[in-house]
Amino acid sequence: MAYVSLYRKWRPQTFMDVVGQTHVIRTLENSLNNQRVSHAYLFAGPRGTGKTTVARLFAKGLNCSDGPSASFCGECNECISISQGNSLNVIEIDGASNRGIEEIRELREQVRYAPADGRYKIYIIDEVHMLTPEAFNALLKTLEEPPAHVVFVIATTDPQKIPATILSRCQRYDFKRFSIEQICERLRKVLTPEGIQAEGSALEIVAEHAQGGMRDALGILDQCLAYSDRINPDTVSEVLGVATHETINQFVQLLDKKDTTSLFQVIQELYVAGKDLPQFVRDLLQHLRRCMLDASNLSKAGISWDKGRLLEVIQAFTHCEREMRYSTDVNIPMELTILHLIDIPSELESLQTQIADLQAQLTSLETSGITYNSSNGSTPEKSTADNEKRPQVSLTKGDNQEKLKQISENWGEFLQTLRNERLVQPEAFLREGFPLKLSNNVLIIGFPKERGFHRASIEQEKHKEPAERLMAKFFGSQLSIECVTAEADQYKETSDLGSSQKESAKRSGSNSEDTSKKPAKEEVKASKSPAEEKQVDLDESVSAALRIFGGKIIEIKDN
Amino acid sequence: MRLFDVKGQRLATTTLVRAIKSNHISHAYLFHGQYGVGKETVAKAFSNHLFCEDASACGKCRGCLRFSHGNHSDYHCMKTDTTIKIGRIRELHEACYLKHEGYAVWLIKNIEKMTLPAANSFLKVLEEPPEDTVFLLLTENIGQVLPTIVSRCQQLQFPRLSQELVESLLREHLQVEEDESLSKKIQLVAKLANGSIGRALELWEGPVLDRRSWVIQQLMRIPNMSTSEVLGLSLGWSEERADLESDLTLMLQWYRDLWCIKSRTQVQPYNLDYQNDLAVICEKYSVESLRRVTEQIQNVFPYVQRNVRPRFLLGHLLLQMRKGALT
Repeated sequence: MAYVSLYRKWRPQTFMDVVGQTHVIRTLENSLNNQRVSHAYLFAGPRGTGKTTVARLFAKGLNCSDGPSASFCGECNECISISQGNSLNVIEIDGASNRGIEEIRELREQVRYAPADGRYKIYIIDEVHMLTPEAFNALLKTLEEPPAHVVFVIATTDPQKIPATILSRCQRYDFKRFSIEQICERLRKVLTPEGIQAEGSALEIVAEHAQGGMRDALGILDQCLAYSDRINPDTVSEVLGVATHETINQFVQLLDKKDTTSLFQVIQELYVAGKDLPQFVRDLLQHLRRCMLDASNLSKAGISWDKGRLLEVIQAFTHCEREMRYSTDVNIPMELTILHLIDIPSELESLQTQIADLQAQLTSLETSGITYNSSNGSTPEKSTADNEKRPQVSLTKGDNQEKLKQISENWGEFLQTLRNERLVQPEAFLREGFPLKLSNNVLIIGFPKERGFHRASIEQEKHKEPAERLMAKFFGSQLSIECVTAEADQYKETSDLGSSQKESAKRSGSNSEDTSKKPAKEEVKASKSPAEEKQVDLDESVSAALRIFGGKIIEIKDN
Repeated sequence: MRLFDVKGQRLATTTLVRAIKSNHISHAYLFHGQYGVGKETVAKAFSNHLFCEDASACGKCRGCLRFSHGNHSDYHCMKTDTTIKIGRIRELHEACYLKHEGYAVWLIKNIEKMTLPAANSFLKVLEEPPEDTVFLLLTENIGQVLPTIVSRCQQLQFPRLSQELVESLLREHLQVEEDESLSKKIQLVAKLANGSIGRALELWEGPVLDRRSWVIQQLMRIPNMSTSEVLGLSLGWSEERADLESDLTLMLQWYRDLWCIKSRTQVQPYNLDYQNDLAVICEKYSVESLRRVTEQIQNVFPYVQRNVRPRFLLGHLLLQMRKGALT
């Protein structure tokens, strides 16, 4: 006879054996004893909580020769054949393997026949959440009104996936996870007849790692037994690959001391000992969580973290655990998290230091008194205040030349205002140009030749209109924008008009005639930019790029 | 091969040997651990013991010979394509109820590749298989395996091998005369393989080492590059997902080394052969920018697995590296 796993060997054989789940057991027992058996049951709950086991017990209770009763004999033919899994009347279907509509049609055919011997035919459909929608729908009619001799028990770990129409036709029983005490109790019950001594603390570790599943707990126990005859905390942590409490404590202390080198050594030791690093992080998080709930844990270990720092550490390692899932090398996320926690001052810390600094300054000010520093303190403040209140530049008096001069002087500020008003696009286009000329409330803006794109863009109404609107607000008079192509030195000429009038008068005079006729389309004769004059023989691709994107060649480096 | 002969993986081998001796052989085992740490080797050795007439894997009896010749009729090794579909599990259902003499072993690699329907339909037979059937399930990522499968198996964790063991296994495999440069290379490969002999052998034979030196060259150049050069680099980068993942790991190792040097942590760097360069480049980064870059690299990993276009990811990432270096 081959060895059978503990969790199969110790499957409860009577309702009395079942640990916990009293709300389920009691209801089922009563319905059996009072002959009030429904025709469809749904057992839902996490893995290893007894769904299949209870379904089989229920089948025994129904079909036992002693009559439907909760205290079935376990000795009659029917009980034994159910235990061995070869009863003709208990049909256990693997819902995940037989998930199609064909299988359900077959089941509907079978349902009509009376049980071979015994009272009921019990259909246990396990893993029912994997049925296809068609299969579920094909089952609906049968599930609602099955023949009198049929009872359905459907079991699943995932009741959300079951259609509402199925749910409403069943009595639903939710199986709960087992508590650590319940698991320990059961483990002890299993171990005593096996003749094995176990330490209570070791069983607690097993129970903790089973996460409420009895099958997991018995599985881990099986593994421990396979590894060693004795069940003590050391063997259990070795089998589970978890670090001991001392290691975790030591780790936290080193983290507090900010001793990176030793922390890295701890990781290296864990690695050499074959511990699972993600598991270590999970245990560490559990430990920190306990510290969070009971602060005395920390102070006992001599650690002076406040809640803020503790939270920060917890968050960092939670993040780390997530990173480990994607990482090919789990060491690196761990190491980086440590470096992060130690090297990067937390936001809180840096704020605290800032506040401390400010306080120190304040006290020094209080003691020494405030000295008024007139030379650089007041003037800039005043000017910014002025700007905020009255940013407009008034253009009411003077002729066009003077107005243009004013505009040119305040051009940068105007651009800044545009920016502040969130008119980023017009600002970006206008930045490339410069006020060239003003006549009859038409502001002519020059763009260098290679900034054709900006010129074309600002000429579009959607950019031009807001720019003009703000201009009216800023300069206090309605101006419309016209664009021409010109070179930057011309801008200088026009703005320095007073000093170099002679030279520029001729050119700007002729220009003003042209621009007033067809300002937008006329190309103002542009002087060549210095880089172009330098004229090195350009690559074909470079010149093409210049043509397409605009721009200047400032410097050419040889590689 | 006998379980005693397997080097490393003491936990797994002792557990299995004890199970054989005391006849406590579970019906399902789940071996989980990183790639190339000996899961399959142990699984095969264990199967050999099961097929041997006196369970010692003598290598002489009929069962052992049949197994070692690769034609034992009760040894089933399920081949994994990109996924394991429900059809394969249905075949398994049929085959595993056929009569067999002694043990029947089912070896399923990469169990995490099972589709959800397949995994669910596997549950019932996994919980209560026919007598003397043993399932050996292997996975590199237990987090991706259905929890209801995990809870039905005895789980054996396969930790990474120690660096010394990888070195000695590598030497054993190579069997070459050693000089100084060769032993340096062995050391480097063992460090980079990170406890996986499978990866070490790949590193040794494949073009991975050349690739690595190329990647590191680029990493060293990036701080001095212009934006357009960086973007050009990202355009030319390989778009193969596997390449990209290993490149990203290299980057992460590189920046981890930089940070360790920066924070004066005494620890062996991954890039043993570039220690001097590391010390120089380290000066160009602040701790804060190192944090940002490493975080960025880690953020990219899941995107690579989700098939985001690599050149966009890389462009962003490499620019971050350059930007970090300036501040």
